[in-house]
Amino acid sequence: MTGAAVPLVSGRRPSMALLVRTAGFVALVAAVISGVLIALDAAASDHGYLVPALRRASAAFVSGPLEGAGIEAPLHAFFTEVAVMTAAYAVAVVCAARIGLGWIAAAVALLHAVFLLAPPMLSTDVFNYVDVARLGGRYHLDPYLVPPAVRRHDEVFVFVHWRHAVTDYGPLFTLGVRPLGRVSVADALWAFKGLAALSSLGCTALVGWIAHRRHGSAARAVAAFGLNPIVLVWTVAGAHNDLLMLLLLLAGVALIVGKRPAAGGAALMGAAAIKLSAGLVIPFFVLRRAPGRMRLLAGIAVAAAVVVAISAVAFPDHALGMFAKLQRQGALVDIASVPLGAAYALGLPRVVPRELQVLHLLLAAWTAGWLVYVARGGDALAAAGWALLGVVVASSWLLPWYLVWPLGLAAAADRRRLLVATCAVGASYAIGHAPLA
Amino acid sequence: MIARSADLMLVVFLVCLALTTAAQVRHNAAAGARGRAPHDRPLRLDRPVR
Repeated sequence: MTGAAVPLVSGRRPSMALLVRTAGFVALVAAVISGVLIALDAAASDHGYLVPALRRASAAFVSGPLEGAGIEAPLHAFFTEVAVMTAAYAVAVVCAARIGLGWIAAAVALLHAVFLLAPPMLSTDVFNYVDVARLGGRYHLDPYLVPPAVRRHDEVFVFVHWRHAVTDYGPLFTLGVRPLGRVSVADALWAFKGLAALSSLGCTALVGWIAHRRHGSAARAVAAFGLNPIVLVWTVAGAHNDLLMLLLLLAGVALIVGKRPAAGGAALMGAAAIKLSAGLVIPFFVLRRAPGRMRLLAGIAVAAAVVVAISAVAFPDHALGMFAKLQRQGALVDIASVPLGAAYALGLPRVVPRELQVLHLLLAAWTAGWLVYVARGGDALAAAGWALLGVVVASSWLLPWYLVWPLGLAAAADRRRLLVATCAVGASYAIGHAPLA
Repeated sequence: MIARSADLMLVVFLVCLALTTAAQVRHNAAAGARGRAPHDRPLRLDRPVR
């Protein structure tokens, strides 16, 4: 036996690429299995945590088509499954380029189908959407002036949480959902679920396309958005209209990236007409150093004029009601918001107005800094994503579906740090809301 | 250099977020709160938390 080194036979040693690919496939399977288990937990849920609507009233149509296959499990099982899904998601994103776009797209489609069929999870907002549709479409009332409590006899009212608040959604959403006010509550609920799932799939396709056009990895972008637990468990399953807003926002970005700035500007304004928060993205693209700025501005101006004209006709007195509602929402404090956690960490008993003032000043400086970065030639997409994340972090009313705004931009821009920061805020929310007993 | 500074800022953000989350969890434990669904009994800025 000599001390000479024995050469390794390369063919017998799995390459790093193969290891990464295998890890990616295992993660993909784990994400799908944990996602299916979460949906089945919710389908059998009767304690009202996973499906808050069932705390208000029992109705078979709320539990949905998975009810028969539901698995009764303690609540900590749900949080364990979310933790497993999150870990699998992280590995899948890291290994996405080796897994391949086709497999990732298949997993994304499967998980969207599963959470489409799951009951409305972790929120009752979708019933407020149904109420908005019914107020306008069935009773010919203005949802910007009339709260749900005015129509207490309506069959959706028992499920509605925000009973004394007028809607704060944009006119495009408020008008667009009117036809759903003429169908049954069950049909409207599942139509909103379908709309959310389709919007999310559209967003996933758009982030992949934008990432590819910007010479990034489409597979990684698709995995980063379409497999994300915040998107699937909280937003698709909860049927939140943030996905519809994000679909238009990403369509606008795609049109701008595809050198059609006028149509892109109109789409961005359309997103803001669904939910006002999308409007924050507009100045980033206006300041962007790129040809076609005048056409972008023209598209924004024309779309804004159309929205204002339609709103003036459909809701002659709506604007004040909508903004007053937004102001009231700004005064709410969620139990897992970052400002509340910061207050506790600083030894304060609760969020105080001075703390919020400081946070809002910091947010203004943060947003202005990113605008300057864009004006000096920086990436508008990533900058807008950071600004939106700043809004969510500084807001005392943190809801996880708001995180899909920066998440979509992080995935499309292929920005690792923005993705990590956004997911960390989502994890903080889930931990803050986890039951302790 | 810029990338390293950005990484450092991200780490600082994550540490601060972890501290606020830990403070939140400690408060929840001390208050004996069971987990609550989103939208359930939101707290108002002008009222004591508990």
